[in-house]
Amino acid sequence: MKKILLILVLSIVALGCSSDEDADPVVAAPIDFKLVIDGVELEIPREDTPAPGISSGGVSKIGNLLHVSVYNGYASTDAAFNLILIFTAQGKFVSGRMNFSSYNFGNPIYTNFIHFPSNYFQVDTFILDEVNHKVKMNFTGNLYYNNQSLTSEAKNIHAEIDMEYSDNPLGSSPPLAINNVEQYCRANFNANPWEARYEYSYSSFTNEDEYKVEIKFANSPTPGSYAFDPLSTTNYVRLSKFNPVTLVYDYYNTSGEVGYTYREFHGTNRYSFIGTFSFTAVNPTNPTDIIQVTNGEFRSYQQF
Amino acid sequence: MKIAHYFFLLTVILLWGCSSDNNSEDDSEDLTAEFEYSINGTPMGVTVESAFKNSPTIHIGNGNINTSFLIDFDESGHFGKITCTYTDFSGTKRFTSYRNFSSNYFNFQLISYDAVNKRVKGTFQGNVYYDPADLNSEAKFINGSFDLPYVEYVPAVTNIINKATINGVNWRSTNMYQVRQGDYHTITLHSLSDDVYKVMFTFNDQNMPPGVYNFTSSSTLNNVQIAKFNVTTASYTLYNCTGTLTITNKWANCLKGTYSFTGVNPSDPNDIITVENGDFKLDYDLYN
Repeated sequence: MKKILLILVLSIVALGCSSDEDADPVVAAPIDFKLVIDGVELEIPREDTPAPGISSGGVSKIGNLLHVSVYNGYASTDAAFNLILIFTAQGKFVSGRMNFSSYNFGNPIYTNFIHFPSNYFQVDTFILDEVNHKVKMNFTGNLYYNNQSLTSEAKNIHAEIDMEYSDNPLGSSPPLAINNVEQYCRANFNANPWEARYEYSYSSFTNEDEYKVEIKFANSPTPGSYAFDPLSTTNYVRLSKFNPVTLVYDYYNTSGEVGYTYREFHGTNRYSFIGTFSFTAVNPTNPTDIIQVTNGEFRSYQQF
Repeated sequence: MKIAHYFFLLTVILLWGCSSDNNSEDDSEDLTAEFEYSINGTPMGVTVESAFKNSPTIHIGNGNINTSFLIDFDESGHFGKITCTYTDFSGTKRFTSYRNFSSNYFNFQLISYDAVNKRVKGTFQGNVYYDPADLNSEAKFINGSFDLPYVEYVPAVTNIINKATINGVNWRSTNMYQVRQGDYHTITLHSLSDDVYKVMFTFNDQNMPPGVYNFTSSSTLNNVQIAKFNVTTASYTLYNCTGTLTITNKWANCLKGTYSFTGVNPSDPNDIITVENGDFKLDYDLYN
């Protein structure tokens, strides 16, 4: 009996003292939102356990774009900021903006490099679960004080996100506009849809990719359709591609047709031209690099 | 052995043997926060939960320069400045530590800087002045201590710094002020640590593109100078400086570049200061 009791005691001790860790290994909690800026990791609380007044961050899907947003309200650091980074639903970087509220530094704003921006934000992981409204993404890139200079003062941003996103399927980004006049430029490049998001200078259209479309008409009150070739000095469309090595746009030789059906007067030699184009673009240094641009349509601002 | 003894043995083993390591060792982060200060012996009721660090600068209080309390220093324990407001029957006034050779006039001790657990501990005491450049201006005595966790943050402009070697010894600015000359657009930025030296940059805020600027002691613009504080006269000796200033970037209210030069005491040609490896990124006030 004594031996049985002794065995019972030792057995209970042996079984009873096994820890939960042994029986059920702890699985690391998923990272919700890790944000590192200029090497400093910022604590971004979960949205369901916010830290009042400190910071908040989240992801929302507005239309077909994902908006990663962070508000950091460190009142004691003279460094409160808003950060918004926008990605396509395929995980391509579109744009970014970081606004500081700083008494000492005059509220600097950092934005993405405007040429071929998706090339300058490295997205290493992107998994979008639209059924469960979850997104997992890791990315790194810079936002610049001068959005046309890769050597200007910059903020380096790295994030690791694994969280649910809020969905606003009916939402949309503000339309492309010049002087509050809506603009657009879209076409198929070798049958692939391309649409401008930016018009940084009049009649010059870009998006997150490397291409730029430029449209130019002569100052004529009569709508018309025009054939153009690489030698045309007006009534043409040009296509170029940003070269990340030389940091300039390499132009294709373009031949095709462009026309407008109406030009809208905005005062003092300023118009929006509304029309269509189609053309063939050939890389002058590589004749096999040909882009067929079809179904082009635009509303393009021009000042004479 | 009786059965009761076995159950007693079982109970003891379970109670003692199953205690986990987690219970016997508290490895939680130390978030205790202690901070207090007095002005003229009157305790100021201020609650501070953390210091803030923007490498290498650490500050306690609001980082905004227009604040009711701010003390800053670097992780090596070099004092920057302390500024505070004090209210009495005459109203609310701002007082600041004497900015020249501050370690000689204000006792700041960084007792510990723990980069692993992100904590700082120190004490401070000394006079603060209505005019930080005038030891004869109205003064208050401030003393206090802190033992705080610190939080690293991302400043609006990263890595504001001015560092060099002065006669081969590492030097880094912990304080700064600016003076506009008569034409308004000529600015001299005065960079100070808590020692006898200050380094001064003079430039035109509307016309200083990136480039290399060679300067001599007769240069009045686009130059760097060094001055050494004389405790006896409570004034600086400005050295005659010859060297090179390279501006690598200028944007908004910031200036970035490098410098090296030699300074000669105008009263003693054998007193030469060699400034090398100058590296700076400084901000200036656009309007004052």
